[in-house]
Amino acid sequence: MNFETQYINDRQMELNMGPQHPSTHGVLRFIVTTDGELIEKVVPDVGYLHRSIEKIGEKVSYHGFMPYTDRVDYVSAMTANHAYARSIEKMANIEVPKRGHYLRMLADELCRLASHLIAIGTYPMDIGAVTPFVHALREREKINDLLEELCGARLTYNYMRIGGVSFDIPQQFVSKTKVFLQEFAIFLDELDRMLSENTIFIQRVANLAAITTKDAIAYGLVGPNLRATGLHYDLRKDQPYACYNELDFEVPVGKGEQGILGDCYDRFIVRVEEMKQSAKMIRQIIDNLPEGPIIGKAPKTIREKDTSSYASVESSRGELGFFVVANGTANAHRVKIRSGSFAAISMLEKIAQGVFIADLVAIIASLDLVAPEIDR
Amino acid sequence: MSVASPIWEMFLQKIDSATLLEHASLIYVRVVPKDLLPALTFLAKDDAFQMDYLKYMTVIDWEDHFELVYHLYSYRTNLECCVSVEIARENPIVASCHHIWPAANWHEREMYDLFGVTFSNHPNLQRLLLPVDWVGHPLRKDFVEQDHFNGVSTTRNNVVKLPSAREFES
Repeated sequence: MNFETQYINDRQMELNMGPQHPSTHGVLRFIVTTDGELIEKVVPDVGYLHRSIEKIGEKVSYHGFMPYTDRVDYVSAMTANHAYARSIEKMANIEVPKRGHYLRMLADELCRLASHLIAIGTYPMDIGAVTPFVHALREREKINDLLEELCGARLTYNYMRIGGVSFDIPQQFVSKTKVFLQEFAIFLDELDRMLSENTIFIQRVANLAAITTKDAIAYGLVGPNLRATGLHYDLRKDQPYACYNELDFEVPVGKGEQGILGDCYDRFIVRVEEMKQSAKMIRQIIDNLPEGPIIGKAPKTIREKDTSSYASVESSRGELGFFVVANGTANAHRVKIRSGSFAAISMLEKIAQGVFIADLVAIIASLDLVAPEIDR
Repeated sequence: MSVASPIWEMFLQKIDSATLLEHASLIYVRVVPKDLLPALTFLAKDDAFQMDYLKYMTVIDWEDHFELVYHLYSYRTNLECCVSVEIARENPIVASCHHIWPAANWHEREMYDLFGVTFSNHPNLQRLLLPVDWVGHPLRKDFVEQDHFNGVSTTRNNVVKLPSAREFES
């Protein structure tokens, strides 16, 4: 545990990057062995945001754990709510009404937009371009306003309940969302011109740290990072939950347009394409919102015996799952959270070998790591 | 895919000590510790299973023993199952499976950190989330937090004094 720079020999040096570093998206530390400008080895040191949410899950009731799931991944908190609610519903056989499913999907997709805007906004900022970040955050602010109208909070929403959602949409929410989607379509055009087709950006990130599909699967990489390697796999399509099978959308995958398949540019462009699909989905959801109750019948105290369940959703960072074990009391016996960032950072040691120090920052940003999701 | 399908019967022929269960539409494969590594290797490498994706692995503390769970999935055959094994709570040692799925490397470090399960043949078995000088394994049911850590108290008195009912009304 040494935070000082070490001179190993006249060639190698051990540098310390983080924990407080603007490009690490949270509190993360990397111990970097360098040879001049080149990285020989990078060892991630995590745990600075460890709050033992899994232990808290054993101490509070099933309903009471819901607000804590927001804190697992605060950049897209709704999807974590959704995954936990699904896991308990599966275990206790609780039905969710159709309108509840639709409102969940609406919240999920808005959250995915907000999360991907952070991902693609901070990415160029980490490697030196500040303008796109401001544009992305401007759009994110509008989504935060919408979500605030929906549930009263801007970051940690606690919107979903076991059995459905807590509030119905307010008046004029649909029309406001439509206005937002129109403005967002303009932003997406702007983004293509500003970033996706920007030669400087492409030359900076193309051909960098390419991941093959085989390696990605072996290391458990999920979500956009996995799809960027060319594998067509999305839980919303392949194991549909909520009412995703009723929506018409495509799953964007990496094509290696600007360089090697699965490089940093592919991970970026997959997220941009995913935002276009999410916008398309939100339009379908608000057009086809069914009438009816928003929350089903769930017992006040859930007691299940000798059972366990695992349910996952396609979060902004891939498969986010909750494995819950019941023991007959009102609290869970064990809660295990499977998160996408944990798998992504465990792979960093392998893919960030022999790159420049400046490229390490680009690789971290391209994987879209969120520190609280790693540490839980 | 249910437990009674032919490929699971083939699995039972290969690993005869295993038992199969189904909970909430998920198949649980229970094996004895000596068959753990052969069973995992078989599930990962056999053409009928090809379980190439280790979703997560975790430990459940049942007070008298530990249960180790591996959640596997295959992108090729779309099969999914949980492999579970019971191990002793005192001095638990399991063979590492990082050579089958590199993802297991970090999961095993996490299990070592939070439960104190030792994985033999692991390349770098160190604490992952907690500080290296932390005492104990917090996700064990009998864990007692140390009073002080590096001179800092781990508990804190509540400085907010709540008013009594009478004070509140007046």
